[in-house]
Amino acid sequence: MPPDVEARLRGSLETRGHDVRADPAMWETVQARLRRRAFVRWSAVGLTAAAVLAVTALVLPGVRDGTRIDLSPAHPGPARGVPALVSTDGRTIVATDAAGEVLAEIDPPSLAADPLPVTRLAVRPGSTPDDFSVVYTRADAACADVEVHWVTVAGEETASGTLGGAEGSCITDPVWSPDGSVVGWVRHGPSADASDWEHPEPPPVTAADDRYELHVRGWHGGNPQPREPMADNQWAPLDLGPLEDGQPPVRALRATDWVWTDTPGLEMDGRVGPGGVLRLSASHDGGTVRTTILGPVRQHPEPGHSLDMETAEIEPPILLDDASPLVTVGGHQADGAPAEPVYSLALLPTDDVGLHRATGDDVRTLPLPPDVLDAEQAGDAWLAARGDTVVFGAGGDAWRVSLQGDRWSELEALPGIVSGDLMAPPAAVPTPSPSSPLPTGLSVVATDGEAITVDGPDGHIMAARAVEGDVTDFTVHPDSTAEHLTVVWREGTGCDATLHHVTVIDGDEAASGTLPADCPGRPAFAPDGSHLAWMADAGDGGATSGEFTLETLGWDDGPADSTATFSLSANPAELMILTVLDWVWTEDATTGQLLLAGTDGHGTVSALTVPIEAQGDGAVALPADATAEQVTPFVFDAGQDRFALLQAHGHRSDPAAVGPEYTLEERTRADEGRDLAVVRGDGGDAAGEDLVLPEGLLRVNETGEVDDVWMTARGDEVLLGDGAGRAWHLPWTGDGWGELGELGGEVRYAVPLPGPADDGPELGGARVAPDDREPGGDRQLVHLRRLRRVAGRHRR
Amino acid sequence: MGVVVLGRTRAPAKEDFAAVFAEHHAEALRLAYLLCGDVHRAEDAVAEAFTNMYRRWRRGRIRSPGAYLRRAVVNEVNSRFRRLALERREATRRHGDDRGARPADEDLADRDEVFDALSALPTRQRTAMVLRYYADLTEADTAAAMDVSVGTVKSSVSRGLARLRELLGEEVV
Repeated sequence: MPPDVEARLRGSLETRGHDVRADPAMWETVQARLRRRAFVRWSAVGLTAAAVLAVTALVLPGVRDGTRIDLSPAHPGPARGVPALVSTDGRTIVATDAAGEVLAEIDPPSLAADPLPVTRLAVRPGSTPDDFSVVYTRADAACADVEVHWVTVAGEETASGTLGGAEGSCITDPVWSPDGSVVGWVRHGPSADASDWEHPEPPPVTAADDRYELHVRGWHGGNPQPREPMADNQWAPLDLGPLEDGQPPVRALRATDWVWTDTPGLEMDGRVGPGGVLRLSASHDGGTVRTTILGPVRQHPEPGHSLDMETAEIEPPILLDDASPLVTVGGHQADGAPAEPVYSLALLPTDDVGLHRATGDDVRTLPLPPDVLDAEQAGDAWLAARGDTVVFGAGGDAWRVSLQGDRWSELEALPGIVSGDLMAPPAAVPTPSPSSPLPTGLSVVATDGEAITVDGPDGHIMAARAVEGDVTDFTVHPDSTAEHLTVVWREGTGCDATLHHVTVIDGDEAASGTLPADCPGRPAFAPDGSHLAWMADAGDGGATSGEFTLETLGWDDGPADSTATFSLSANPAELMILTVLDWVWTEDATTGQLLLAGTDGHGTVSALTVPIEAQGDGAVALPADATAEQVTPFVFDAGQDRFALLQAHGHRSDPAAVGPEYTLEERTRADEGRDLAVVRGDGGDAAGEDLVLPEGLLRVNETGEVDDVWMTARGDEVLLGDGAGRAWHLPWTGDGWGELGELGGEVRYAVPLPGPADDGPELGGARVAPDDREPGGDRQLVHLRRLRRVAGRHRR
Repeated sequence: MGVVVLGRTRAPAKEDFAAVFAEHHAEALRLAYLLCGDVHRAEDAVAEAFTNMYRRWRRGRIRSPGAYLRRAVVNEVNSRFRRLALERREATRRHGDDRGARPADEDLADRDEVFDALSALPTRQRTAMVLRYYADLTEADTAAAMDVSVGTVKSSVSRGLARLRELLGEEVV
């Protein structure tokens, strides 16, 4: 007698599993990923706080090289349009978005094989996170060994090489011409003879004197040309002699920027060729450091060459006065376009350092505290800017700040960065497959698990937010509209779950971030939007934790500082999953209750209510004597031949704001078969005909359960989903149900929103103007997830 | 009517993460492989699960690393390879029509046939069956690992077995 399928299955799994051998390198893979995540930055909650933030340093057991693992607390997420940062800690080079998420990690062979630390880097203009080039220098502290390298990352392809090197001479910051056609750097050391220098060999040392040279390399533009350096090397000596009578010689010259020649205000008398001018930062023996300008350098007349250094009219640097900047970047202008802002670091009358942003006559200054950057450090400071965002640093610490409207943002600490540059932000979020047109006037927030979208009344996607993880739940702020929307969503499940928020205004992402939450369940907003609550698995995420805490977080146009944790230490129902379904006021806007749903080990759904009350200071808390009560679950008999699968809840604080309720119920047909129907109710009484769902619309499994059904509603608009990617729109027309229509694409969960022309939800037959609504009163229905029938009660 | 008493949260514990890895990674890899059918992807998923696990572990929030890791691996495999489901099924289909090598041993051949059939099942059914018949988890623990109800586990296993019988040509009783 052949073995049954269960025995065959056990045998097959045992055999196949037994054949799998773990790769010893897996542990190293884990460590490498942890190191990579160590680049996640934290943002300062304020300047003072940022200055005293301490790095949490952990050494992972078994990390052979003793790499520090710096793990950050939650940080605000990236706002749309914030440039990506390419930075180095001296060992690796990474590209990160504004939230510190790694977009690319550059690992050319030279980094792995050579112990020389990376000292400076510059990103080729025009670079994007998907296609960028970086030139970087590596040097020891004494300039005994110096190298210049390049690396290009295009999608999954990486190319890299060496531009030059020099023993016994220093190479300072690389700079790119604004069009990315040339990269240059300053070499400081014994003089060289240009005629003997052939790529890739460095200039031979011909004398022991000390001098500066400007070296440049042309760069192929890209397809069909390779994105890599040209073969030509150009260089010319920089004769920096005494600047003026009585001025001491210049020391420590380095290039900081390369400016287009048609930038106004440089007063180069039209003598500057199309190659542009270089900004140099230098010090002289008096110790003062100032920006000087060197120019002009010209493009070479013949193809295949970058600059004509032999005929270049390189002028002596101009020493500016004491009020002049220490380091200056930006101000590029091309093709008649408005000049970009000019950013500079300069000493203030107080001897502190200020960050200046100048556009024409408009100059905005951000004084920098000495513990961020003092005058002594500023001589070695580096500065990079793109649009309204600036990064700067010195001595291994870096900071990011941006001008937002007419105000500077808070300084964001970027610890451990020795050099950085900015490039275009990550590409706009991918547009998910659009839904089919929805009925006019209905906007929905929906997710297919991989993105959250706002679908407009005509079916087009008004906004989309791709997420890295797997969206399992979300909740919408009660004041949200399609034009001003706040969503809090959950990614992942169990203790891998995380909570995130985003606010979208007119299709643009205004704010986003990650919420501090451990093992969070589904979140729910308070009816007035003042707080967010969720249940958290207080255990270890294992199989039978059964311990939960209630977490609340204040909300004021975003997450506030007020948080509270309440432990639910007893679990009479032995629930394994417990989640918040809704938050409703019970009597007025000071007391209310949370509706919780849980599932025990037998799959039985239970419902709990937890009282909650608003405090005088605006916080919310559980009453001192609060207990959570197990109440009638969602499955209950409502008559001889019907019982509800889903009981919706209106908000009881204002009867005028309590909208229609919808329940999903089972009906017995004349032939003894069973149907599922959506019933519209008003204050508990049926109001209108039932909408009998087409047979088979919702899946009923062998054990009589309807898995993962969800239903949301707003006024007369109802959305129903099967939890497997299909969702339907059920409109109430005022005197009956309209045509049931399916939403296109995969919809894991969706919530209706008021459309652009919506004057307010129709509640109980009377349309309520927006100003007349009670806070949160238009969000009248509970969002039910993973509702399950009691086994055996729903067989067809 | 049940009553839940409000109380305090408990203190976390700590243990050596390297030892946790040494103890659990091999079994986690086998589980991941049986869930996705590809060793390299299984290694990637397990490495990611350990990487994610570390953050909680260092805060002493994991008392049962094996259970936590099992749940993490299931999540990781199913989320990472959701898009690859069709690819996997297509590969299985082609493998099943004699384009791939087949073991000579009849018993091994049978086990390959069963494994191929298992790989053709929907993700939830396959996951439930691997956890039940390979990891020997109870229905409750399987439900916890999958973050679904026990009822879903029961139905997934029931439907999965029925589908397996169908694919293997067994008579359905």
